[in-house]
Amino acid sequence: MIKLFKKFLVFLKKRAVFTVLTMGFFGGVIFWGGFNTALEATNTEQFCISCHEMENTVFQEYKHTIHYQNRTGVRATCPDCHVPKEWGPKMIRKIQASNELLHKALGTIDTPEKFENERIHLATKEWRRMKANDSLSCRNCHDYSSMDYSMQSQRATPQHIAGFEEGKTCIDCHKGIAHQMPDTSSLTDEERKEFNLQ
Amino acid sequence: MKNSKKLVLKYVNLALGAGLLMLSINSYAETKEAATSDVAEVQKELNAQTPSATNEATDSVSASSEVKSSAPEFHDFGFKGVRSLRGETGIVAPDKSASIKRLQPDIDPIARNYFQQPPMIPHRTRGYQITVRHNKCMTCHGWDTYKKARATKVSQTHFADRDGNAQSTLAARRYFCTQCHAPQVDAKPLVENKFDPVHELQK
Ligand code: HEC
Ligand code: HEC
Ligand code: HEC
Repeated sequence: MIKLFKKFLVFLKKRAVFTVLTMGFFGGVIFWGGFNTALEATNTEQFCISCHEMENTVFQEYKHTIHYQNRTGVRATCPDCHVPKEWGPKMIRKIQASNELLHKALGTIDTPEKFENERIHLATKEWRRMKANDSLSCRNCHDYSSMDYSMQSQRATPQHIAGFEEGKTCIDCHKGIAHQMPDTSSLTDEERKEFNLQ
Repeated sequence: MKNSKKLVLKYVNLALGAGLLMLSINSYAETKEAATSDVAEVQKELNAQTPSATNEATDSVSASSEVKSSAPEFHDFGFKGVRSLRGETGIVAPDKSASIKRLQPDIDPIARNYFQQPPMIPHRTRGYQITVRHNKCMTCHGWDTYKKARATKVSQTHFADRDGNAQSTLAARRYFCTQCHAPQVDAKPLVENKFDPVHELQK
């Protein structure tokens, strides 16, 4: 028995590099699988509303909107709008989210009143993020090059044609589509301009 | 040695099987007994009850005939009651579900029928929030935005409070647009309407 073990050790020594590589490979696969599973678990609506800060406020508002229930039955969930689909930006957003965990622990928005006070701050962050990536998350589902203007409403068509020519992006005009609009009266004139608010 | 062991096993097996059989027969018999006794009991109870039940019935009949004679005489004027919008449906019967009316797609502004009539909304308003923080209608109908949005400008009257003082923002009593303005569905009038609209406004 001991002899056999010694033989195995010698075998390992001879092919150390090979062993390390194989172990590394399989270890990596297992680690990556686990990491991805964990990441996907945090990328669901269920996870987003598992804390009451989200469930009692924005989730309740979102439930009355077209992205929750509509004619065609296609639903846009929280991560569809709030987490980028591409790997790089997604990782960055997930790392930023650790800051949100900190504020969860601090209880920064743990009452409806505190949440309302912070809402304009939270919303401007999302508006900035969406402006910066040309409303990428909206365009993951709505592509303006596939819009049939003849099917759109009389108000949408001219605004879309003119807006896209001016280089506007979805969030410039479509704010407060999934939650209640915050009170924008505290914004400065520059900020109002930045967000295309009157 | 081996053979005797096998034999013992066989007998144990047999005994177990027989026991099981007895058990099942026993329980079957029990349930049958219970069932028959149940029926018998119910029958007995029924027999006991029927005479009194019929008695009660005759009692109540005589009682109701007394009530009838003491009540004022009933004249049939042929009056069937008020016919409500629900039609002939009885009071307790559930209403026939109405067909769902679809909101119309955008149309041009709808002509008004009389002076001071709040104009009707010629488009859908799903998802347009009118909350304490935000009034979505004003993103197109405001004085600063109506030209660009090619929308109807909100009336000047909406900036006056109830004492007639002009304000720079919407007056509280005019803030909730949908209190007076409503999107339209393609619905037939429920009752005939002979109202003659102001002709000047129809042009
Ligand atoms: C998961 C895909 C998805 C994402 C992401 C998404 N939407 Fe939608 N959106 C839909 C669907 C589905 C509908 C409903 C279509 C229907 O049934 O008419 C819709 C409807 C809309 C409407 C029409 C509203 C109405 O009342 O008619 C607007 C405006 C809109 N989306 C804007 C946005 C904007 C802005 C974003 C980005 C913040 C976005 N959407 C992100 C799928 C998505
Ligand atoms: C210049 C402003 C503007 C921009 C930019 C804009 N929209 Fe719109 N959009 C409108 C208006 C105005 C309407 C019609 C009124 C409404 O539904 O609120 C509309 C309507 C819509 C509708 C409903 C269409 C219908 O027929 O009911 C969808 C879906 C939509 N927009 C998606 C988008 C998406 C996705 C983007 C970004 C790629 C975008 N919009 C960018 C102004 C804009
Ligand atoms: C259709 C896209 C869309 C969906 C789906 C969506 N959001 Fe949002 N969310 C937005 C946009 C856009 C903003 C920026 C503020 C605004 O315009 O209302 C925002 C803002 C927020 C804010 C900041 C506070 C505020 O009200 O502005 C929170 C928190 C939030 N979302 C959480 C959620 C959660 C949780 C869900 C899932 C239940 C969700 N969102 C689903 C588009 C979406």
